[in-house]
Amino acid sequence: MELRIEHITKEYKDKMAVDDVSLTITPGVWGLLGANGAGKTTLMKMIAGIMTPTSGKIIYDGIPIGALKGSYRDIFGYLPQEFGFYPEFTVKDYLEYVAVLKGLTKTGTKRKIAELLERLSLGDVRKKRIVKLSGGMKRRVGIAQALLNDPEILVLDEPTSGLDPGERVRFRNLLSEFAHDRIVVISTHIVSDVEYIANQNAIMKSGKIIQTGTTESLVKNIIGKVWRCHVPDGEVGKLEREVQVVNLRNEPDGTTALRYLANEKKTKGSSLAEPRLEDLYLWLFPQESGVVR
Amino acid sequence: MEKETENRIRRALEDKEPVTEQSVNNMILLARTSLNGSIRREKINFPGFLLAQIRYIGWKMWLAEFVVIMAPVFVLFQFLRWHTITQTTAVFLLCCLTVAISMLCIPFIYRSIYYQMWEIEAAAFFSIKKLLLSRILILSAGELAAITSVGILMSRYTAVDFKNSIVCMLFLFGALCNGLLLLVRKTEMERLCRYFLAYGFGLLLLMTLFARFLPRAFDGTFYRGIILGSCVLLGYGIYQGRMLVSCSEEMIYI
Repeated sequence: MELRIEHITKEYKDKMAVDDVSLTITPGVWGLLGANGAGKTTLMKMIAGIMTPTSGKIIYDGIPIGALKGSYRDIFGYLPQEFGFYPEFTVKDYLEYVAVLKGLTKTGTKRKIAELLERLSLGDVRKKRIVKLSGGMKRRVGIAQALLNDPEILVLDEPTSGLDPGERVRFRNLLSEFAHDRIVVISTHIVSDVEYIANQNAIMKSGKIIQTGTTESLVKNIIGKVWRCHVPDGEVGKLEREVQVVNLRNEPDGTTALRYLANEKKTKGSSLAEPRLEDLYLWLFPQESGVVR
Repeated sequence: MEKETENRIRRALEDKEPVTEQSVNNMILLARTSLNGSIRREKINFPGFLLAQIRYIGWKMWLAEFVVIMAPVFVLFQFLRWHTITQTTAVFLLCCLTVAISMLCIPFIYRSIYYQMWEIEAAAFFSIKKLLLSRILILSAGELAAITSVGILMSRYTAVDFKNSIVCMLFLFGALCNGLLLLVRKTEMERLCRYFLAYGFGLLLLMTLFARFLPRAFDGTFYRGIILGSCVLLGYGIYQGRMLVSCSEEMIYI
């Protein structure tokens, strides 16, 4: 099973949202990382088949998805970034409605909804109107609808926004379990979401995919550029202006523990740190932390 | 295997031209597409989908249609001399009601965008196109039933010719449905509402002008012409429905 994206481009009147992207997606969890406006959502919509590329094609197991029509949608699950619902729907109504849209039979629907409500801990709120649920629960309902048809390809656009840390962990575990022999693509700018579960990552910037690979292979690119040090509290501001600080923590002894990105060490006591995906992300998107290197 | 695919494979095999890399690839693609289509999981069919939509949206549409049609009829019964109504007035009234009921579809069609449901609906098996078509069909069924009921009621209590009323109403109904289908395919959803409202008011204005300056248009004088026009509109409506199902989701909603 593979999903091949071949030289895909999406051009709007005044902007190139996706610019000649090629990628072969194989089973496992794929993290699509990029800053806001990088073109992730547009790419997701094209993979979902709801947006037509200006040029290029998306091929599933050797067949363009346009030719597959219903049979592609049949094995596809999608959670959009802006997840909506009709205000009168309860959780159960909503899942039944989406099941009808997905063409599921009555017996299949009943069994699948019961299973998903259980797995996503939504059983207690199944008769509650979605509008009254918390943000995290709404998101879980969104994830449940994407899984309804037992998809072979699951595309989730910013799936963890609004989830609390506990829910986030549960969600990651659910996906890891689910992704066996299936394709799961998660688009996010929350690096920790994909750091633990993604087998492969693709990083998007200005409509292009600039890097792909496993987390380990990607972070190799910034070996020797991640530093940690302790500096007196008064020097933090100066250092922040010079380098890109990944994080800082005030210590009880009046110093601040810093982790920063730079080509060379900037303070005497700096030592090299083990790079993480978050470091790479900030290295590639310095504007995300408000610092320009 | 679909008949069309089968024929294409047959034609490819019968081809006397030398086998090229391209023709082999095309053949593989055809076979794969066919195989992929044949292993589709068990699904409900379109009539089943249409019936399911009645539970979610159909009864609301029909209720709204019932209210819109019953309000003027109630007013007529209560305050006007119902039995003295003329053929021209009756048909004009029915036509106005037809337009008014059609305008009801705007919130139901705009719903997907308003509540940000369209992306999920568009990516689903039945897709936003069939969903939209099902909504238009449900609304049309309700409209036809409502208008026919009032037509029957009028012909029973007045001297109005039921046949002529129905034909005029069907013609207008055809014009409205075709206008809506055209707008759904050709304009952005956010503009559709305004344009369809304008179209509806345009038709109302046109009818008022006819009623004022050419009342014969409603009394059955052009009966055959209107039947012919209705048939043309029906044919064009079917064509547009098919076009709607085959166009891309992006064309409809973005």
